[in-house]
Amino acid sequence: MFAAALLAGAFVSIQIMLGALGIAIAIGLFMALLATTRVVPLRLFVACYVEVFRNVPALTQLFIIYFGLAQVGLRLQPIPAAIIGLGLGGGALLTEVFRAGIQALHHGQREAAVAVGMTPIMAIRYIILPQAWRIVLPPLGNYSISLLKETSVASAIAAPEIMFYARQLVTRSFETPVIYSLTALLYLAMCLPIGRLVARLERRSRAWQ
Amino acid sequence: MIFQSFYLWPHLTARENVAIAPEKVFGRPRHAALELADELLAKVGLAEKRDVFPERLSGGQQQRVAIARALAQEPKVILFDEPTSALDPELVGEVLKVIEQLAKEGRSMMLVTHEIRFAQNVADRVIFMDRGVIVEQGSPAEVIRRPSHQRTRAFLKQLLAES
Amino acid sequence: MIEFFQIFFDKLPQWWPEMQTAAGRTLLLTAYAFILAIIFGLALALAKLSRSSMLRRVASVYIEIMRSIPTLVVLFIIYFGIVPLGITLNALTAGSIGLGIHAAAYVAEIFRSGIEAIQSQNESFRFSAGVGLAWSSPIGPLKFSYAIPLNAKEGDREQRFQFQAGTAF
Repeated sequence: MFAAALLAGAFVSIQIMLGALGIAIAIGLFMALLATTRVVPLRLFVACYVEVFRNVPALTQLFIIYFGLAQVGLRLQPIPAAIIGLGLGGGALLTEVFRAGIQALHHGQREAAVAVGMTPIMAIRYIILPQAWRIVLPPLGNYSISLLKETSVASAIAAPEIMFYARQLVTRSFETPVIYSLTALLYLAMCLPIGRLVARLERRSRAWQ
Repeated sequence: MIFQSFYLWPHLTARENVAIAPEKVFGRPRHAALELADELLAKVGLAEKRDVFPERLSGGQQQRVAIARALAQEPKVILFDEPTSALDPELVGEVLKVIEQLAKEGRSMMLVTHEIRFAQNVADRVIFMDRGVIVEQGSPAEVIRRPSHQRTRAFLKQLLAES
Repeated sequence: MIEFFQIFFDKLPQWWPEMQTAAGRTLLLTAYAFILAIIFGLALALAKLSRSSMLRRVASVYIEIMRSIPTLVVLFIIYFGIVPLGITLNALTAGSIGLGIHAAAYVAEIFRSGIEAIQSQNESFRFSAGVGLAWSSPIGPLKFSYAIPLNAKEGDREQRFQFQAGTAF
């Protein structure tokens, strides 16, 4: 049955998604904090990173990391390459999301934190992050869903996820519409529940405000 | 420091707003910080509002919490930046009462304000500034009752005419 | 590492014409898909806001499905999956259609929130959709239009058919 192979691929898709999500959140958070400092070169660095990684398609980024780096000696396995590639791109997107969340807070709160004696790191930890977290949750949730769908491009660098198995099965059995419809159904089955969860989180975060 | 727009932290209750600096910045144990917060909130007359979030408090109440928050640092000097300018006229009084009480206790404070009568009654020293330059300074009796500069006189005339 | 730049500058004149053509095709593809997405997306948005609950449901289902499937899968279904049905499409067409109908789901949400924002401020906002036929006849410009209202409310007067002879200046 095709379903078995596709489900095996689903496991890998989720792996890639979680890995990339972790990297993207780490990069996004770090870059967003850099972007809100007053040091101009740092802000410039963040701006360049975001522009580059948002304007180059994910597929191209994956190709550069998987094939391109192999040329200069760094040979990566498909799954790690996909995680790094999608993570770097996602980091650029999340930088903007986190930055918006941090800047949504009135600057006065930072002033008050300084007036009370907190160091910048303390202000970030106790004042800014707890509040920005609630603003950031809905876009983060939406990004997670997009990421799960984005993992399908990893099929082009031979990562054994859903799309990869789908294409393999098609070349072997020629049952094209059936296989791709099953693939679509599988993605649906994974994304719809997460979408519902995100919608509920959105409603709850709005209620708090 | 006390700000015109209070700048309380909305995700913390009044008590937590006051207690967080003693705990995190000065390293006091949590229960001691919370006790201190309760004391100070009682001092500014807001004991029963300790577990309320800032958005549910009136402007005057928020500013009083801000004063308690500043007192929690055991400051040598407290700075006030137009503490009552953003308040409803009816709420101005309760904040001024707290500041007056602090003055009577001997706290060193520096206020920027337009409450002339309050400055006259409570201040030890008054400074009038125009465009970043000190125009006149002295005791309240000198600067407010018998101003020597034209600019000071014009300003006071304008302000006292409005009230 | 330096070889990277060496190879780059070496091969660049040879690759450049192809890269140009490819870039042109990318832009063309974007344009086609964008137009399709906007038209279809607007139709979806209006359907989702219409009076007919069936239209609303169909539009919602379509949008939900399209937003939960990766673009790649949609493209593959359109290009490869329709073959058994007897239709073969060239890649550009399949790509435009696939991207267009996929993006239409997102565009629909954008239009919908925009329209709702305007509607909530202006309760008397109405819209309809229809077709028209303009004919430059020997006796002058004639226009036949048929439209159906999409959010008529109680007490509105409806007119579905219009015939016009002559033009407005």
